[in-house]
Amino acid sequence: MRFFKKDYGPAWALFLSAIALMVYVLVEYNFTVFVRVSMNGIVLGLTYLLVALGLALMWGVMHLLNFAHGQFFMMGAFSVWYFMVRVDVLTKYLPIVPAYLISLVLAMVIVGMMGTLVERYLFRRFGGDLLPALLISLGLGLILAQAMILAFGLLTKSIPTAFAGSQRFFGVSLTNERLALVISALVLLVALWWLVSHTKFGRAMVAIREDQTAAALQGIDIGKFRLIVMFIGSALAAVAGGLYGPVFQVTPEMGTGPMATAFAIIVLGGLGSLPGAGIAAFFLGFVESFGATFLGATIAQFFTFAVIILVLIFKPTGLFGHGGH
Amino acid sequence: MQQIKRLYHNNSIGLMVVPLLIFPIFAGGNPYLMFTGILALYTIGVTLTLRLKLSSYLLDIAGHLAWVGMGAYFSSALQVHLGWPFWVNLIAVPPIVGLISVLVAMPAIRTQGVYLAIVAIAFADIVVLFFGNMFTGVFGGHGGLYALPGVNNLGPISFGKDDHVAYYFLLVGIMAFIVYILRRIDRSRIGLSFRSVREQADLSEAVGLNVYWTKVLNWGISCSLAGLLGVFFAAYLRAFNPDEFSSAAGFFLMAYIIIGGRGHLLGPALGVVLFVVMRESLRSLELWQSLFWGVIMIIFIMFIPDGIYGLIKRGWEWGIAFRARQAAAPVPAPAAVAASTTPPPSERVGPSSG
Repeated sequence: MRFFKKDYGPAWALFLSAIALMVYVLVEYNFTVFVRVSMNGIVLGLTYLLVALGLALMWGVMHLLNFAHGQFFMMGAFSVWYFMVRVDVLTKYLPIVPAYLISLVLAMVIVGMMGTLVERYLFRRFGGDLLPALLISLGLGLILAQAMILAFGLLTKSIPTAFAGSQRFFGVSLTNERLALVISALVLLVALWWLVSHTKFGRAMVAIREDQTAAALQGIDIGKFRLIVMFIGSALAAVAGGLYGPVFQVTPEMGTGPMATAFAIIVLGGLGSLPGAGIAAFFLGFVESFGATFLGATIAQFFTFAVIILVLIFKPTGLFGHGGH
Repeated sequence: MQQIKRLYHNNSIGLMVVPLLIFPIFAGGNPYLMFTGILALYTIGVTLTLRLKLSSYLLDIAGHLAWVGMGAYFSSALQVHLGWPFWVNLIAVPPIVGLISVLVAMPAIRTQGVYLAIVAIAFADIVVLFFGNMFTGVFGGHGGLYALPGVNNLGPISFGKDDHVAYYFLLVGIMAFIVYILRRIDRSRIGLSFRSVREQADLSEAVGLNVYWTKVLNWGISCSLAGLLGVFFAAYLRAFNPDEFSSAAGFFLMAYIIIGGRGHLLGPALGVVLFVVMRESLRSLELWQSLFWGVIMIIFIMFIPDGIYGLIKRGWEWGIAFRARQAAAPVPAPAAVAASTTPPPSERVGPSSG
């Protein structure tokens, strides 16, 4: 019965209003429109969720608001573009699907290593101090975006799609690359869920989130954990960028929009709460898709911000958060 | 001489008047220098009002410019459509902005820390969307407002397009007002309660301070002062668009405060001056600018956490201590120096290290 606690009122309100929106679309338009809007919302929601989960993990373990996370996302897309287009070794000797997958893995490793380096040499010395780490990540974000412009120029890049063609679901066509985005995001999410809930690693992570000192006293190596979590978070951002790149465009500013949404998601869901992030991501993805189809992008944005403010006013710690910071 | 030194030591804000008055004497004929200086001074003002919010841990990390924008838009709309002169707006608009900010803060202050930051960012984005999309006849839509009337002439003083010096002294007057208010707050019971809310919210509540209304009051004062600067901003530039007040631009205010130094009112000013000097001297290297700025941010936060002001203060104190040590140290005889390479511990401690 814990899902009916009074604390979860705003979460239920969001959930029910999302259902109401769906019913409205079903009644007012038709099933095809409904499926198209929902599928679009799912694609957006999953992308945002991959970005937001990295942020939520980082907040949970090291109380870090990483404003360079959007640039990690962008770096992921740039790495995939670099290995697929700029360096034509992979695409020359391999079919395009394995080449794409290998460059995705390379992007994850590169950006993940970058994340660990940044954690070790920039963020660690500030511990839980919020503002300095926040400003360092802002500066880092400026540097990364500018470095990409200086290295590869201002022109918009595009990654060739590895999955041509499309599938039809309920009379709506969904391109294979979006399908690949959904499937790979789901695989990653299941892997992450398994890691957090079924392994010793995940239990240790929860322990650190609850009480860092007590966790350290039980023999958990906090420093090592911070590095691993930073690796996982950055790699998630990178793979989100690599999956998002072929569907949309690759530019040095591509990270700012998803990062802003991801911040809204983790705060809306309650900082450090992974299920909260999940619900918030799908709600915002759906609102964006629904709004862009029926209301225009501006009103959809307006609506998104209004929802964030309202939820935080009625539950100041986010949907599933406890304790203010 | 001694008196001047003491003045400088006790009242470094007051002595800032001297460079402010000297600036137009050598820059008065140069519109580019005056323009840069006026915008820098305006930015210093906005940063100072943000610093007030931070004094009771209202982490408005990126949304503060929205209140400046509100002041700018309201005063322009009143001036263009209702024909209110600038001088009336200067007095009437800040209370309006303050009232709106209090109405916004009353529910929003329920959130704390990072959550409040996100609420403020969301609100700033709503404000930008509102001015960009609603009432386009009054607020000009996404293109913004342009060809605004500027400041009305005040008797013999004319505020034309090229009267930068007049605008400069108007801004100096506004800044003097803001700094006076901030100083008075800083040294009064209100300022003490602002700081106690930051340091020990529960304890302040326990000794009878209303934490909620203290925060709302802080928010209202800060936002209405920001609105006052917005009124000037609109009248000086005569053209602006909503994106200038977006949260993306607002992040930089935080950087000015941290880089300049959090401990003193002069800190943010030093941060802004560093940024403006750097931006203007690197005009030819447009592409490298934000790279440099990022590197400077990281270097300052990593190695100089108390900012430029802290650096200067430490240097000043080190200088005083050094001179005291030199004055106190006995002149050693050459034989004694030759006899012992390391000084005895009593000499190593020195008179001023305590």
